[in-house]
Amino acid sequence: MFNRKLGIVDLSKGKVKVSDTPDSLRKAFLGGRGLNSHYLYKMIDSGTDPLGPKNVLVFGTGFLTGTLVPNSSRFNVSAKSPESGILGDANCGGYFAAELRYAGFDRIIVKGKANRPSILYASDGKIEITDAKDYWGLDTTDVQLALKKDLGGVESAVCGVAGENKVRFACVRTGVKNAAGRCGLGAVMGSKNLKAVSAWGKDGIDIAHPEEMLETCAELKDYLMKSKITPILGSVGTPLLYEVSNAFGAIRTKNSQLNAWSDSLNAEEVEKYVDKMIGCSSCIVHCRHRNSLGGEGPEYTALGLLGSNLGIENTANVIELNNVCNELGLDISSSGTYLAWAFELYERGIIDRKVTKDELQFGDFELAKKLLHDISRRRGFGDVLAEGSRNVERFGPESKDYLITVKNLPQSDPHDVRYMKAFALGIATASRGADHLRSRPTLEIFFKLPKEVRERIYGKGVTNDPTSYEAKEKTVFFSDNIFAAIDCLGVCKFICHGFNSPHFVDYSWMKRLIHAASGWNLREKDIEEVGKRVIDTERMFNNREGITRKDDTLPKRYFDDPAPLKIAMGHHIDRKEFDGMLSRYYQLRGWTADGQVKAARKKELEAIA
Amino acid sequence: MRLKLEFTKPFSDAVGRKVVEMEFGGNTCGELLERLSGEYPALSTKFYDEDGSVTDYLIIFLNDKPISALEGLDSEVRDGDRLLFFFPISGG
Repeated sequence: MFNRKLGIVDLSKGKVKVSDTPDSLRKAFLGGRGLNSHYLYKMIDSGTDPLGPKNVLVFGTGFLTGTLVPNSSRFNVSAKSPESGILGDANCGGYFAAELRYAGFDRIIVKGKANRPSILYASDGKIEITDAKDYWGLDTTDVQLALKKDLGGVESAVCGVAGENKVRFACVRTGVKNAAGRCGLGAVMGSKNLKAVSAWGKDGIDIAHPEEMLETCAELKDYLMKSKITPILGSVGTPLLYEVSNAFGAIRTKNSQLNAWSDSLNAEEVEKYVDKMIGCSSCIVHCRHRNSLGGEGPEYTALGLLGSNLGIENTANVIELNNVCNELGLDISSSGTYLAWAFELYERGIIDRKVTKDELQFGDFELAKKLLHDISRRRGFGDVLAEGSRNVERFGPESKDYLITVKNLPQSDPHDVRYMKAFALGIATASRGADHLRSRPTLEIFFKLPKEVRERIYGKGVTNDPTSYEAKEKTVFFSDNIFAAIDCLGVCKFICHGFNSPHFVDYSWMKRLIHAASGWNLREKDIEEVGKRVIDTERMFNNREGITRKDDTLPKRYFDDPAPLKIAMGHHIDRKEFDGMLSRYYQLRGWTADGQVKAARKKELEAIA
Repeated sequence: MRLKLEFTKPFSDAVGRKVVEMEFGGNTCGELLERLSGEYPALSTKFYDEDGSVTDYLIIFLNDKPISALEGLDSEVRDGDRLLFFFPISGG
């Protein structure tokens, strides 16, 4: 079978139900992020406590996950976020998702709360709930190794000590580094007494048109490998971005007080600690580093948020902090943002040792490491920091002015957005809070994107001046839609049209791959509509939690403090221009002027079953 | 005129350093690419495709704007200008 089962686990009752996902739902959302968001909207009531038993946690593979399609390793973990209080969703690679499909499942929905630490084990179309007492308290790699030893070759998605202790920015991990990092979904696992979901399978995935799939994938691989981006990502990985952002004056530094930092975190310095480059299942890019300090990474995000943002220059120190976060199961983006926030608040005297116990200062590696451990175990000031953005109430309203979040979620990547206006709109409107992976609109400044190509992709009027606000909402709209579609397919964004290149997987490739896999004849427009449906469904979830136009904004610093260094010097986001761009974005989406999904559209999406 | 050029990977590998200050007698960015390709032959394959056209995989900033937002390769350079050469890449 190409379709796999939907497993619904009620941990409170200790019951498992296995059923099919109707084709009508699959055609509307395909899989992955889209179907996860649909289930969240249908199953979670407004006002539900994210750390209570009524929250629903979904592990959902993409439509093409586990097939021959290049880079089809992805799955999404979704729940109401304990960090932001709105839609929580995180996309992840590795080997777990393919294994889950081979074990017979497209998706597992977890309800309730187990009365003792538990594990879900999926295999041969069945899910068992087993005791996790021997695994509780283990770090993320140790628990996966123990599960492999005890259950035999399983792949697992787990929470670390941080998740067990319900740190609001605890992540879900698989493998040595892959993380469903954002939104505190590891804490949702911890709140349900769920240490791991393990999978082992021996069933291949039946493809509707096997020869067509072989031919299409071979052609696609050749197409992707012709790009100069693929070998660069495979040899240097995302650390290359650090040097670019730093040269530009677009790297978050010391809680965005500065926008440039040391060359010591450039890719060539990181390479000194790289043992080899590795990939996820079916990956042809191989962008991940196995580092010589006992972990994987760092990505650009870790270099920025655990390096420049904390005022740390030493490359080995940053890699060690990266490895510590991964082992404890802490989201790197949130960890680096909250630590830097606390350091600045301490420097400004907004918080003091009565709260922090220790003296806080940028550049103190040992302090940062200690605080990460303390956060994960909720010790001392770590227990305070573990509450994330909620500390605005504790630290006072002035503290909010220095917090780099949108909708209570720290900005995911280390990119200072003051220069690039489309990028700024993207993080302001992303459905899970300040996040670059929902839209990351940068293609419009691509060197030789001729006007006619730019207009074909985005529509008319988009300039390739990054500092212009003109029509930039169109780049966010386009990118939001296509990235939502590829998240539903379970394919990595690194090979998605518009993320890195116009020469990657676009709607036309998606249409061919979907046909080869399932036999469905979707039009390109149908796939684009899936993306729009996902964005609207996620917005409906957030509207129901009280999200309106007032929340689609940026950290105060990006509006009011011009960037102080390098090319970006003097640039900031103009409030009036931003407001105009936001209004135009709502018009494209068909939302009301207050950012609400209109009643007719809501009714249409609610009727999908 | 005197220009300050900054290169990031992979262009800095071809040049052998990150920053170059140079005297330039030409007028445009296109002419500057030709001059640099002559001076640093390893740059030639990074700047140009096999058919001799400038590669898609190069972004040049002239002071605070990408040349794609100015006049492209015809963008004029002036004394004291700073140029940044980088590879278009995204990620997280």
